[in-house]
Amino acid sequence: MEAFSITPLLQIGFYLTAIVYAIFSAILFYHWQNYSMSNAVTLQTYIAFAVFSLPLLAIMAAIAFL
Amino acid sequence: MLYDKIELEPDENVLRTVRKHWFVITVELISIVMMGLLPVIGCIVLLNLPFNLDIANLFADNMAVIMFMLCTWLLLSVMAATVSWTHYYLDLWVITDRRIIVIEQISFFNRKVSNFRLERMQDIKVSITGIIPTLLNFGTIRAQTASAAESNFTSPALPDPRELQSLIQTAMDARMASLGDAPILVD
Repeated sequence: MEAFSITPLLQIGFYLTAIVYAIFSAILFYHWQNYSMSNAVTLQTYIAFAVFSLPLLAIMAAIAFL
Repeated sequence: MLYDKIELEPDENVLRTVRKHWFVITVELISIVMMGLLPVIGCIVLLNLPFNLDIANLFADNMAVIMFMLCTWLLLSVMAATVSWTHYYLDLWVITDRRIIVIEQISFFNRKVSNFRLERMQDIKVSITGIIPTLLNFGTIRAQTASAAESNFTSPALPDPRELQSLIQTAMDARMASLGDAPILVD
């Protein structure tokens, strides 16, 4: 019996997560760009979101593709 | 930026902008962080159980899947925290010398902006209920206007509500005085 490979599932999972992340980021960007009252807070929010989320995405990509 | 969209009237001055009390966002963020870290802590605890070697082997065999799922869960937690912070920050009151603008960011696709003119305000009530609101001084403000009942508004968890009530009352008095005997138009 052939061994079942989990790699394709992880890759599909990563693509789905990346799509959801991209849509969420666009919505977030739109809201802060249009409704925020402070450029500084907007920038800090973008930076915090990127700092906490991009490393996780990078780890997921590494697991799925390497 | 928001002030460009609110379109303040000529000579209208912003007296105060108010957001919900910091306690609200702190509790929300702590809850999200705890939920986010729960599976991570669970995995660490399971791996450190001294008597169950099968779990360690299971983790070793499926490390990639477990790590991937943990990262997904953490990413969802980061997104939830960002949503929470966005709603907190974009939800605000703008008190000017002519009106109160209440902006409610209920969800990403549900935003409500209401204007309440000071000369049409009739009654402002403040309620501080509970131990934590009393200690940290935050509470609910309810305002009644001369318009239809649905134009009354309630905002919970506002910081220092008595001071806000006083500020609005003062602004209302000043507005009424500035209008003098001029008739107030009612819809």
